[in-house]
Amino acid sequence: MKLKRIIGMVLVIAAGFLLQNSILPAIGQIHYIPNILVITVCAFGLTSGPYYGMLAGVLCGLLMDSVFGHRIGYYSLVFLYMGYWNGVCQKYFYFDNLAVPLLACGLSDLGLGFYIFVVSFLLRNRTNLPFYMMNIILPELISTIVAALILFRVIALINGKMAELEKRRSTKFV
Amino acid sequence: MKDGFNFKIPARVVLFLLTLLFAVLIALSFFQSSVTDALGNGVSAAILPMQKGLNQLGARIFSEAEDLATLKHAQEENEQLKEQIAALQEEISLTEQERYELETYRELYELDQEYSQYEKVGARVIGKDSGQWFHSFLIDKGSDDGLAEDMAVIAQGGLVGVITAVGPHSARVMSIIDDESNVTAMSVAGRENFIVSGDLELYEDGLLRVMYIDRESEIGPGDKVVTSNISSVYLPGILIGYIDEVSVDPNNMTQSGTLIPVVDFEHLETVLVITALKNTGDDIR
Repeated sequence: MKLKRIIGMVLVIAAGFLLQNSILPAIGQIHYIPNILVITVCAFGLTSGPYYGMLAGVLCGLLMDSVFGHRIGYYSLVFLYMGYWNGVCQKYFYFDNLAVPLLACGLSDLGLGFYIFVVSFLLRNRTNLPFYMMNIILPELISTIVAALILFRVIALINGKMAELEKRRSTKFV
Repeated sequence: MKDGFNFKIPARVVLFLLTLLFAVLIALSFFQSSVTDALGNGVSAAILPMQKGLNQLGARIFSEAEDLATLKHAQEENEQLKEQIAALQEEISLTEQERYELETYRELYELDQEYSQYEKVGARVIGKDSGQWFHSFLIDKGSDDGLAEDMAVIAQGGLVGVITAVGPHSARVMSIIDDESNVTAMSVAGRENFIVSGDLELYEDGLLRVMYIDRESEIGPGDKVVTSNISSVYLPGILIGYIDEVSVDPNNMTQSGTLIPVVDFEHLETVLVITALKNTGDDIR
């Protein structure tokens, strides 16, 4: 684990969290706010593999759980798996091809939506999946993909720059 | 050591161990909540300095965005407000007359515990839970400003929600439109108690659900609904909204229906926290 890269990751997650939960709601014009933490976890998983993906997932999950008062593990668990599976898909990722990241972000957000629906709604006898699909899951999915179009490259670039910095430094001293 | 990691535990094993850890934590929170509460507080304490920074930055950016938005609408608003003032001045003279009537009625109903006389603290909304699933938000006042858990939060003259957690400089509010929210309420006219609960499906049309109204009750559309005096959390007499419609349930014993809240939850920017806590009679148990 490279400390600097982890600090960079924490900063990116903090910025994403702030954007998603404070800045975008404050603007007040966007009804369906994109899930930027999902994009962040996907970006770290796809560019750096399952270990960094899982770490980003756990950090995002713990942040959401403790700030918004869900049971510790509620978001952590689903973000952990999101990071792992995106990390496993690292071999399909090329920086020039945006189709894979967009698909990954879309599937991850869909998975998160289903997870929340099953755990927090279906288990309390709220069974109207078509309603939740049309009014909550799909709108958020679309806005997340649109946001990923812009944000994914930014996060991947930051992460790539940090990895490059590390490599250069390690070759210099070896 | 291919990509930064010095130790060689396979990712699959790490995933399994972490899954186990979180599963245990979730299970523990059901059976032995004190352990996970301590853990959650620990995580919160570690995150709090960051959260505080985020909150301050968020509030600053918020106010700037707000300034811009205000400037844009200021001129239109100015015109509208001038018209409103004229209308309001007329209304004031009418209200003055009605106030004398109201005071006599209040004495009759012994309803002098109106919430206008409670101590209140103003706070700004600085963060919202992500997505449309949950309706909790963060405010920029905390225990340092005299806030505590279970305090009622109001805005625009109506009930918004209740504080579910406090930090030194921030607090978390669960609004009454959250799918898991239940409020014991009563109608002002009939004084009977029932439940107002949040429902995502109804909220799409801007409504809340009312349940467990006595079948004999003569409650109907337009009736004013306030928090009940038997509620375990909320102070009595806080306005929630007005009944939209009610109908008798299939069980033929209760009525249920929908309610229109007075608060516009989509555009909450500032809220008031009532810093008085309800005396629930725990001390005589």
